[in-house]
Amino acid sequence: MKHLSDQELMRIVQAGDFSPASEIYDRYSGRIYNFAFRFLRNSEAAEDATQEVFVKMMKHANQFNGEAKLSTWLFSITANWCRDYLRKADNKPKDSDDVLVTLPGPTADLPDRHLEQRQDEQRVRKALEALTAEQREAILLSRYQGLSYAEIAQIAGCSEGAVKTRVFRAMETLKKLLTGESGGDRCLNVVQ
Amino acid sequence: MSECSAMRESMPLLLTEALDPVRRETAHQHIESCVVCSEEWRAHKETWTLLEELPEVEVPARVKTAFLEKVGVAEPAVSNVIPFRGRPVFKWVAQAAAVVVLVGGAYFAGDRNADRIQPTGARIESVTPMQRVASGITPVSLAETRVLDAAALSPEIQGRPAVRNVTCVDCDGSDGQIALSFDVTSRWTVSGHPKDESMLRLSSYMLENEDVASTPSEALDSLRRMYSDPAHADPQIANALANVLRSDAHEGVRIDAVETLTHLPAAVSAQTRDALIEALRSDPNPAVRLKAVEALANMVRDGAVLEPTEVDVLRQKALQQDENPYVRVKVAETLGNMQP
Amino acid sequence: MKIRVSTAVLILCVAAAAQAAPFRQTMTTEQKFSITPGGTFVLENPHGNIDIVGSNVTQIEATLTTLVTAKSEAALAEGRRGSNLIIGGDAKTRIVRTVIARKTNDWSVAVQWNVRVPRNVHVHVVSTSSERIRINDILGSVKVKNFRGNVMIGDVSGSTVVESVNGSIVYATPHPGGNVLLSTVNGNVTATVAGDADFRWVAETGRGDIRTSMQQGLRGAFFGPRFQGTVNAPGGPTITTSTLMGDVHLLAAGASAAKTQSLRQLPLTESPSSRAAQRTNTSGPAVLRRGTVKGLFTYETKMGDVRVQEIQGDARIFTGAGVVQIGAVSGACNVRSHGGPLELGEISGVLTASTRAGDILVDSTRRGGTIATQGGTIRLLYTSGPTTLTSGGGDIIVSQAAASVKAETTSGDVVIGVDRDSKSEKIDAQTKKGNILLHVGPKFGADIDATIVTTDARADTIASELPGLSIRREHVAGKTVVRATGKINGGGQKVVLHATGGDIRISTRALAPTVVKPR
Repeated sequence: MKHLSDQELMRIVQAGDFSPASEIYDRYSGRIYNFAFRFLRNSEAAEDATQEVFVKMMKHANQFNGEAKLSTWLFSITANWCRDYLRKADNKPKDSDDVLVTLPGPTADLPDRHLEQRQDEQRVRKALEALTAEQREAILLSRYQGLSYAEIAQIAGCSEGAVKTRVFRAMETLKKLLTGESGGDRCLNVVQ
Repeated sequence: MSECSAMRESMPLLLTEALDPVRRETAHQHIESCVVCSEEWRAHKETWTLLEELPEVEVPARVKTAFLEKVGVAEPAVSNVIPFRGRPVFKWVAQAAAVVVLVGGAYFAGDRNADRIQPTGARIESVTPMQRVASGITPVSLAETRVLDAAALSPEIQGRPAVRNVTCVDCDGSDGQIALSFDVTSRWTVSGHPKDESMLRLSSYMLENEDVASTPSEALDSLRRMYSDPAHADPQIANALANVLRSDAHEGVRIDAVETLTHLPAAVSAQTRDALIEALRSDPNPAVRLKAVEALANMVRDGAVLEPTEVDVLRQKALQQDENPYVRVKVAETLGNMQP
Repeated sequence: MKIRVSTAVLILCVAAAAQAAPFRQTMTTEQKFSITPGGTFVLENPHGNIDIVGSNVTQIEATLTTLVTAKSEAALAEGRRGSNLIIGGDAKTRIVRTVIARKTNDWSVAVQWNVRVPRNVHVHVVSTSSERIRINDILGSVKVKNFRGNVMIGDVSGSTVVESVNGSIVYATPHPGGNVLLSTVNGNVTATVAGDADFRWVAETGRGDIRTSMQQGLRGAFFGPRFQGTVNAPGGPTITTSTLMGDVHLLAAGASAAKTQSLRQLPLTESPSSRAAQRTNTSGPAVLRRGTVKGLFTYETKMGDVRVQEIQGDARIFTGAGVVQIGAVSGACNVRSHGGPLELGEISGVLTASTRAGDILVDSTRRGGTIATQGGTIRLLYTSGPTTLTSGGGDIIVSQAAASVKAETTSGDVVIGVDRDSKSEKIDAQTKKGNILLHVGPKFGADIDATIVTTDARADTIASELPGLSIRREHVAGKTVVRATGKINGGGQKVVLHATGGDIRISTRALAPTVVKPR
């Protein structure tokens, strides 16, 4: 199976033979899971998402157009699942009621990873949380999955221009939060 | 938009090396010669690098086990044997909004669970005007995949419909079958009450879809005006406009969207508060930010209570030195009118 | 760190007699919390006054007075149950929160806190509304965040940060030991220090004034609306006082507020960029209203609306932020705004109108002029002089042009109706995303050069109801450029139309009238 392309594996599945399931899963589960996890900020939901995306892929294999990339299609299904998940009111991420969780603990309680690295990771997580869902989706697919704007547009169901705007705004927000720099919308040559 | 503003917008593309060589070179030349953009670029790169700090997480093994169980496949044993696979018997078809035409015989292609459409002599032609869907009739989707036997298609093609994206699903003909897949443009007229679910959905789609909405027209203006009438206002429309506000690249379109939101009743547009706050915080055009504040001010006047985080955004905006002073004043007035 | 959360039950010590309407009940309780020297006390209390004073105590000692107000007995009982005290953190960081279970119109709860803390702690307070928050005699730092209610800070040796929205801030410490940031949106800021204190001072206000009684030791300059300087010797902490709508006062201890002087009247160093700001009237009213003004009318304000019915002369108006509404001007009219809409009536002379954000509506300009906004719609009902209109995003609509028009917008439609009697006019209209609609009389003659640049040649088109144009198409860098040129009605002045991502239409139908609401 490993030597077969995605399209070839999908043709087998479309023919009714589900044996490529494991191979396809191994190829893409990491990316799908990490995307869902970073998007939803919830490992349980990310597990559900990953499972359901691949089940859907198998059950509706005939919807796959062999000319497109399988990854694009899988991300599309994942993004739809995640959006539906967030849309349900009780799945909206809630701020913790207890202010105590934001207090820093003594360093002895921190895990083994280097303190600075862990702090950077926390900062990035928090910064991503400050984005809107659309911006987070766009920046996760662009930065972490390396997808083109055309692919992201297909996944998000919007135009490339909209993707460009979302990524730009996401970067502006992330820049402000992570480096403390905000780009003003006034350049040196603005007329007074 | 100034050159520097355009440059900032292109920086994410520069980071992903998605710009063509000419534009990439031009961008780098500008960055090298412009102090402000040089600083921006440095901050962009720093941010991009910092994002790497988010590590990849391993997928728990139970997910694979559960998945394979659901699809009825045993977890494969590790093996070096690569099984031989013959050519699949069935062919696959194109995506949604395509019509598959099968020439010769009753060969089935496509979703094996789809209902087959019986030959009726139907033609591909304009559909005008459409009768209201009576109860008991299954609603038609605006963009549906149709699977037709060639025998179901009339040989007459009237009205010169636009046919595009033609692909050959199966053109070798050796088994006596070929299949063509294509998109065809047809004109629809849909009539109904402004609050019909389907009409709302259709109107939201038109207002939100950039290719439609960013070609301003009297029709879209009339649609916006009609839905800002309190009698017809609906959260779906408000959400569609909010999506335009969040993501349309053109200021004029965003201005239209936020202007319409300003006139919607507060109860309808309550869900769009996120989009308004976001627009106030970061829209590059001052007119959009101004109208976002006016829309929020209307909501507050109608009794809406903002979350502490939203109040904080307003507070910071009021004190933001490089913000347009009129926007700041409007924000301060809105805060002054708020009940805690 | 193990997080410990416990809910303390409020003990009814004093039962006030219930009143007929509304129903009220007051309950008082005493609480004590341990805290280490140098620890941090965090208090979150949504509604109710807060008084915190540093004392010779070794723990936090608080008296809470809870006032429940309700519409009925049952609501009163629910209100009593609906407020809780949550105590968390540890001795190093003690966090105490008053939590109201739910928002309702049937009852409300306000908790007044009177607290004594060890002097050497840090204090953080978060409040939504109160009449006052008072914190005194603290050696550590103080942070306060509130929405409404005055904040009074006194004798705080460490750094101080106060962020309010609608409250005023009063700060008094003879020699601050750390940086001080006092900022509010709608309130005033008053800082009082010892006359010989050394510090750096940063002050800013949008609409109000900056005044001080420490003129003797003050050196500094304005950078736009912000003052930066030092008082007495350099090297001390920085005191930042900032408000958008209120005034800033810096007082020497013992000095009266009446003896203060506005910084704008002091002979301070000016940076060239701030000279423009210096010219403005800092103490102008929020709204300047006039009826009929005879002769030249000149007015500048940093922040404020300007509404004048008629100016029988020239007009020169500047506002840093506000609405400008002028009924009629018999001479030339120059209106500039840094933000806010412009509504101008009949302008007999040349018009120059610009705003950085906002719509512009002009009834008529007889001698034409220049109209520009960096974001917003421009509507000009009539012009009989050469007119240039520019928008940074928004539509441009000229209902009736009896002279040449040049209109450009970054995105939006450009709609120009040429006077039906005009045989020919020079028109130049450009939009980077939108349509161009030109309405002319049936006998209008012109040399037309119309171009659209589009990614969808089927959707965007050039159409003209007047014959004489020929169309050419070419493909450039993935886009289609459609160009229509030719003479209509035998030719005339040049009409250049350029639209990206939209249509161009030349129509002989009359433009529908623009409905303008009465001023």
